[in-house]
Amino acid sequence: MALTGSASEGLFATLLYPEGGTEATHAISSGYIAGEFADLLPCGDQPGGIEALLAMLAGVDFPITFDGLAGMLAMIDISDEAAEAAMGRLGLSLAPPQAHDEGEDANP
Amino acid sequence: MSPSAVERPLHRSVCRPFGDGRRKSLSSRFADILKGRTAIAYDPQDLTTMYQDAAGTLPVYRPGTGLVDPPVGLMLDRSQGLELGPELFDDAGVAFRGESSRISQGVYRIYSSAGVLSSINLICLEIGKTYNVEFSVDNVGTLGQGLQVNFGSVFTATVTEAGIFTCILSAYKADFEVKRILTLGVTDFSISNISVREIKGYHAYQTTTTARPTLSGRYSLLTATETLSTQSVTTAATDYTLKFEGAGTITLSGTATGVYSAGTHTIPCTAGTLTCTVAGTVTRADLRVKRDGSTLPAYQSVTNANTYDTTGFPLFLKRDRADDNLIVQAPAITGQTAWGSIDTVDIAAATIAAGAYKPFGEITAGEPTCTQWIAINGTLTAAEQAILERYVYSKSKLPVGA
Repeated sequence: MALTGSASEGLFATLLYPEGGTEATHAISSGYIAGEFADLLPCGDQPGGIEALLAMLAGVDFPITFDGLAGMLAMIDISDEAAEAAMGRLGLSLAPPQAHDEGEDANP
Repeated sequence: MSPSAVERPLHRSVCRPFGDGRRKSLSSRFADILKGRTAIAYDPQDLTTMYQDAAGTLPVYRPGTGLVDPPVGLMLDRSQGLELGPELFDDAGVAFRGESSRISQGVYRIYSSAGVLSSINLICLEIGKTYNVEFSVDNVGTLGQGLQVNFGSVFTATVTEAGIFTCILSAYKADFEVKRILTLGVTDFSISNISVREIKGYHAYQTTTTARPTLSGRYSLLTATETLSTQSVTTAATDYTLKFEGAGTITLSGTATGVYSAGTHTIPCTAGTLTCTVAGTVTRADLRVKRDGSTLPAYQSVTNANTYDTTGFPLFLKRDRADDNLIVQAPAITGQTAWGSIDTVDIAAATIAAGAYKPFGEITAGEPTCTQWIAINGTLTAAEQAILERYVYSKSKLPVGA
């Protein structure tokens, strides 16, 4: 996220819970991201661009090695599926409604 | 006595007491309700009110026309008719940076001889508000890379030629308060007639790219519908309508089962994957959530996810229920909210506190689609209430009370 500056704000704010679990193990972001970053991420047949990502990180205060970045990307599940499909594949679900701030939402 | 002699007096006596003989449209009567009231009104069917980015620099396009359904990062409130406020630009308040200067009152040179940043300051812009900015480029002496308007972290499209330049401009971060028209490279422009006017209303935005809803007009789950081939779709636990023509059959498996021939069928589904296996020729196939009394066209032609027919289908804001949402800096409203979705309409009493508010609900709450969203402060008369209901239902093409 350090790569994307303000574009990364608000990412991964939604927690996900394993089936039957009460503690969140993942977080999700779903939607469009800028093409310049999408092209660098491993997705489907696209291998990703760790070297290019490292080159971009050279300009920011975020020390990380090639192996560290590769390991981080390997831990992330990136796909072009709908959010619901990706969550179903990984056996994860959104937090139960009562876990959110009560009374904040007056909408139907 | 001729028939016309009898008809004329009756016609006049009936029509004249009701005004000028022209009946107001439902939209017009709804607009009358909003007059003088604090309100918010979002209409996903009005393409002129939506932008792909929160800054309002990139308008949305009609979905289904070959491009991916556009994200919506800024949605303008129509409750005040998108009326522009008074002129905020004042020549006396202009400050210059670099080699830019005033040629005469209201006429400026935006100039950099060596590519060093040069600008005029638009001090009248305020973070958190939305503006219509316009100016005239009178002459381009040296193009360089052109001009840009910069407001906070927002940059407009580049201006590269003479003519009138207009943009919608919003910025929501108070930590980077630049507001200027600036050079890009070695540039020499002269501009005049700068106008900065606030767009009245309470406009909803989303600065996080992945959290922006999309604008869609897709109702049928199927693709390649003109001549259907076997495919799988994701269904929710509800009733669907399957309709198709041709001599072939569709065999359903997964979230519903059965073998169907041409016609219209109600298919109760569970949540999950539904596979439609085609045998023979199946044409003009459509599978969508069942909507009793709907006036939508019975068939939607869908080529693929990006190319589909939206004629007669209300556009809607679609949230992925993972992180999509819009935020508005709302006024205090105690009155009614009306929410039209592609499946239903909900009109209810509601209280909205002044401040940041998510009109479409929390991420996991509320309908994931929206054809119309309205909040009105105060109490409506029974007649106004009836107009509001008819208006919102009509936007979803649902019969009142559905």
